[in-house]
Amino acid sequence: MGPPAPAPRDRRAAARPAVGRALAYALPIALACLLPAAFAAARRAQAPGDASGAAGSGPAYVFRARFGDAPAAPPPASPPPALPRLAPSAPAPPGSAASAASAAAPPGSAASAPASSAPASSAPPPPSPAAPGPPGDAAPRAWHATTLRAVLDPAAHVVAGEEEIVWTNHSVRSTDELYWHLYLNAFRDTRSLFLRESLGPGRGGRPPDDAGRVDVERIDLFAVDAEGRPAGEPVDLWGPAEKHTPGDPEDATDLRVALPRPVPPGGRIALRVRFRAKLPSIVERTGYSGTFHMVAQWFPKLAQRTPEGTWNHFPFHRLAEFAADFGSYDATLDVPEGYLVGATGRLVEERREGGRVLARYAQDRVHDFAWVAATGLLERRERVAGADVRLLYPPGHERALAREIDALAGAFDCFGRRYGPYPYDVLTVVHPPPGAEEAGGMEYPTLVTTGGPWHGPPLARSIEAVTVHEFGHQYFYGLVASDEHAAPFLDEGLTSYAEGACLDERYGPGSGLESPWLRVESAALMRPGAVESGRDVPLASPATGFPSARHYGTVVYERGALLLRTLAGAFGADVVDGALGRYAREQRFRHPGPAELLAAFGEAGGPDLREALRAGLFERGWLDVAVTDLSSRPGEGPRGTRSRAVVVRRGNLALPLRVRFFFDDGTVEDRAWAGQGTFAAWDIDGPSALRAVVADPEGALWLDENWANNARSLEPQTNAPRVWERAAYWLGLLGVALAP
Amino acid sequence: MSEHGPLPLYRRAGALALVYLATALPAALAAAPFARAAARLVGHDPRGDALLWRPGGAWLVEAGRGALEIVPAALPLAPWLLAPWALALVVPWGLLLAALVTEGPLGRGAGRVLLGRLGPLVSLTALSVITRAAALAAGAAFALEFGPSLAGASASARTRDLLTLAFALLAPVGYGLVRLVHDLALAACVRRREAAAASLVTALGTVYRGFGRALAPFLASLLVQGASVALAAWAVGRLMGTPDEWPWVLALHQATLLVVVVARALWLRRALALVGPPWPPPDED
Repeated sequence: MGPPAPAPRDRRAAARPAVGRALAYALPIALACLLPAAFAAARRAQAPGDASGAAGSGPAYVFRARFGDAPAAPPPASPPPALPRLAPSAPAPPGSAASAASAAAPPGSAASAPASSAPASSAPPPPSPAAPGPPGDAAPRAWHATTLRAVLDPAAHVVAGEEEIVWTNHSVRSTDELYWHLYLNAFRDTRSLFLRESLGPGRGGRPPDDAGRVDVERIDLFAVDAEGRPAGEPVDLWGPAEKHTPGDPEDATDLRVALPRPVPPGGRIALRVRFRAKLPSIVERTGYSGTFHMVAQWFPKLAQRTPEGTWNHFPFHRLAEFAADFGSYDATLDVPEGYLVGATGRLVEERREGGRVLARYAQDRVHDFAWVAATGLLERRERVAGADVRLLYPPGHERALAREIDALAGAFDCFGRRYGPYPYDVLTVVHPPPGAEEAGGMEYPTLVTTGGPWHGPPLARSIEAVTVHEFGHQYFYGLVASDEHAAPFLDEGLTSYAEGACLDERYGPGSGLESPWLRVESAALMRPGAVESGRDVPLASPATGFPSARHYGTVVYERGALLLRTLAGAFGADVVDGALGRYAREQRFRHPGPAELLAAFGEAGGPDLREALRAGLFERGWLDVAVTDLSSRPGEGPRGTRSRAVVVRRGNLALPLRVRFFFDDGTVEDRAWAGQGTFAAWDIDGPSALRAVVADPEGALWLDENWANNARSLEPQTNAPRVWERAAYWLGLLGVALAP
Repeated sequence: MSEHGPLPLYRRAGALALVYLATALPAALAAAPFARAAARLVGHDPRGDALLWRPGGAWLVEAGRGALEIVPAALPLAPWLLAPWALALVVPWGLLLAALVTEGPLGRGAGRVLLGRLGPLVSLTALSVITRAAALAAGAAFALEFGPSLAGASASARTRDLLTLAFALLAPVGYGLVRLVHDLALAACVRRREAAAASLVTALGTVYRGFGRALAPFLASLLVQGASVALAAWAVGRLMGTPDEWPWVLALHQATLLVVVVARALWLRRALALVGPPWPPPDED
């Protein structure tokens, strides 16, 4: 305790405490009381006006509008030939495993139609691919029935596998070859195409510490019997096959295998494959980390057969994802006891034999099969919107888990309303453990991986975003099975848009960032990337058309999402959401391309919407709205003051927008501009001068490249009091921290 | 040894106001370019910079996008601007310290003392700024280097993160200890008229003799400062979006800054008492 204070020495000194005390109390009181009143009065004097309170309420103003020329020749109404419809709607197959009950049926039973016993049996050719089939769930497509048996050796990180496929040639042309994707060979060595491609940092940006590969040991061809099972003597297909990607001896992710006899349209064959998959250390959505095994893109996978009779095959590129036909999968996964398994589909049988667990999963109407086996993960089950949701997560991640569950509850509801109900009765959500983060944020049919730190990052909604995004891929990828390699915006762009819309629904303005003093919506976080590199590459480019991983991310995800959000702002959210909902419902269990998306938008929103979408996708569509002219001349015109304003639209995206006019008497008027020409000019007669004009006052055009020129005022403010105030406060605190 | 202790803070409200103004006014001046830059973005819109705080934060992100182009270039200049400011702040804070142990008008007694002590005060402050920065850097490096490795490969992410966080807390702890000793040294320098080195010895001796007695008021001051800033953030969050909110936010923020200054001044007054002996009045000098 310090010594006592000295006694006052004189009367002046004696009076000082009272003065000081009064000052000490008066200062904050003055600050708290006087300044607000003073600044509020000053602000009222400024009277900036806001359309919310005064729009259209003032004296009558007469607007005469003149619009700049629209484009002389209408642009093409369909995408360029370089990116045609990828896989037009096709008819139902001769045999499809449609029912949930069939998922539990014995292997091979999914192909139920009779077939000849010849290796390439004949059947009536399917209808022309141009013939429209019934949309939605009524047209489940299952062109193959695949039975898998996998034995995991977790010490060696090897999966010994057998695969049996009953495959139907659903195209209009016969084929004398098959194409197989062996994706794990991307990680075999640094000479693979995947690792040769230098596309900057990002997922898969460096080789795995431990290589991975898939070695095919046999591929045998069989005929198909009446029960849809392999029959007759096997024919070895693997021996004579070239063991590398056609035209690329260093890569082995895309292999051609010749057939001894062509398979005619509608014909069926059976294939039995034996393979050994060595998982890499975690890289690009697959691999192992400790005892966690993300077994994805792991089995020799038949390429997609288009209805036109071509093979949609491609080597595994760094930025590319996948494409495959719908089918049914029935997989028996053999793991050591103590391993928790999560997989595509529903668990239909589980038994224990000799210290191992054999878990059988089956799922109909999907186009891939992935699974996870790990020790140390916890499991939680939730029932959401009629589906059994199974969550596998590392211990200590309960906070992250709770946020994932909340996000999923919103996502099931939101996606169900917008794009149709989730058609499967199961969803497995895997939160990879630390060390396996690169396996997070990925989608497979009825199985998604999410991610995030155990504590759940405060403020940011990254956990919710990745969870909703991957769930969204159950629609745009899973159900609406566009080609991710040829048109990544159809899955990533549409999913990113839907993700943002559903996050907004659930979390409001804080859908991207939530703090006590700042709430940022997800679209705002996408805008910088979308605008800055958005014009570098056409949005509709194939995955191989992007110069870097950064471009892929900012263009496909962010610009893709904001293009749709911009269209929603211009044409109406109900119109765009209705168009996307229509596309999602009509193309369910199909393989649509950009043409189907454009058609849905044209039907729902008319030719302007369709054209704007087309330009945005294929022509690096861009937009800059600017108010370039503003003047007022008191004493002119019949009503006392004549004013003039000009708004220009730069770029090739022609979008409707609103323009707001602020008058000196406080009147605020809104006018619509269809945005088709290059400019709009208004001559306005009224009793008061036009003070300011703001184009797109609500910021609905997210892709407008420069928001700063959207307004023009005769008396622009040269100061930003809120910015000044906050900066002064935080700098003041910094001063105290720095002070002696 | 005199019996005189530091004067009550309210008796030196003038010096306190000077400290507040010396903090707030340069900050307000330094904030002006930010405001001008923001006005270039939103100045033509009649809604002004209220746009930046609209729900959803789109305009704020837009402003940040513009700022990101400038900040990386300006960042290397920051130490060259902040260091002189920190040294310049020696004057008001030194004057407050001197005023608390000096009778008479500020300009005469305390001013004279400050002039006599300015050299060692500047030296101590420079040393303190460098040491505090080093403590933060060392703490961060220590946490990143040792936190994960001490946890072991088999530890869970939670254990590893918590251990890293525990080590990371060493940074502010080190920072705080440096500041505690430094504040006591400032007090000793002013009250005991000691040179910089001798002031440090006195400060360390004070801490050695009664660590708890020194630490408790120091932490109490920090607690008040932190709580007032957090409270202000919360209150501003509630105010945002309401019409005409910014004058209230201004008042709230400046009141908070004043509270922070007062809390620190109260601690420094306590530091003056702790380092004793009493300062002889100027007329006895």
